Amino acid sequence: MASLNELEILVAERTREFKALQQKSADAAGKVIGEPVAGGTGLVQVDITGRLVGIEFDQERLRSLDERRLGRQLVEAIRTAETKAATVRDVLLGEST
Amino acid sequence: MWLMNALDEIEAAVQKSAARQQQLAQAQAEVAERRFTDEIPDVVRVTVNGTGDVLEIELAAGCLDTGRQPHLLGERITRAVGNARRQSALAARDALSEVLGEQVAHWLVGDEEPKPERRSPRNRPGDKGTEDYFEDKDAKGFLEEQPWLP
Repeated sequence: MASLNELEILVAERTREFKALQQKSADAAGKVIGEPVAGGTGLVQVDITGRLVGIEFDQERLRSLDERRLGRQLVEAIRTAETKAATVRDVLLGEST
Repeated sequence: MWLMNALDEIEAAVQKSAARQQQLAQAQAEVAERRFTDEIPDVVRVTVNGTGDVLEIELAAGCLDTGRQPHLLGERITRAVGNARRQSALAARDALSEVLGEQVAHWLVGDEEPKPERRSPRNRPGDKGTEDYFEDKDAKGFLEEQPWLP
């Protein structure tokens, strides 16, 4: 049967681990993964959960682009960024367990 | 006799669980096959599947022209993707609700955390935690006093 002292130590350890995990999660939440759109016309940004948070375009290049082609390139860039985000998420949060 | 009854109950529970898993897999597959779109007229139309994967981004002809505010294009596409995915998540939640119940589905999809469990009579708001309870207690000399003795 565990003594009160042992239980206190156990609770303190678990509390420390929980706070470390919370911190890692908070750090990870702020990370943004960028993926260039083919041809360097822009940058797709997703957060660590794979949510699309923004797309930036090079306005100079944008004028000369074909809309259909750009649409396909964006889909590809979003998929690649999501895959990278999943990898980063696994590395950052997987280590804590 | 009671053992046979218990075994029957266990078997029934296992069968029920297997049936529910099958229903769940079927519901997930059906939602995954569905398509959800969001559109900003004359700018972009985004299609995602039931798991939120972006399948297509169709930019309207001429939307890159200088007079069509191309500086807002990134923001508009991002918004359309978010809206389409929201529709997909809601449909997934509804499908899961039918199999697992509303509360579990909300929790799984992430829009809402499960509601707190109903408080038991021993867990009323006025109850103190163990630490609070002992804070104002002075246990010193408790064993020596032996209050249970006459």
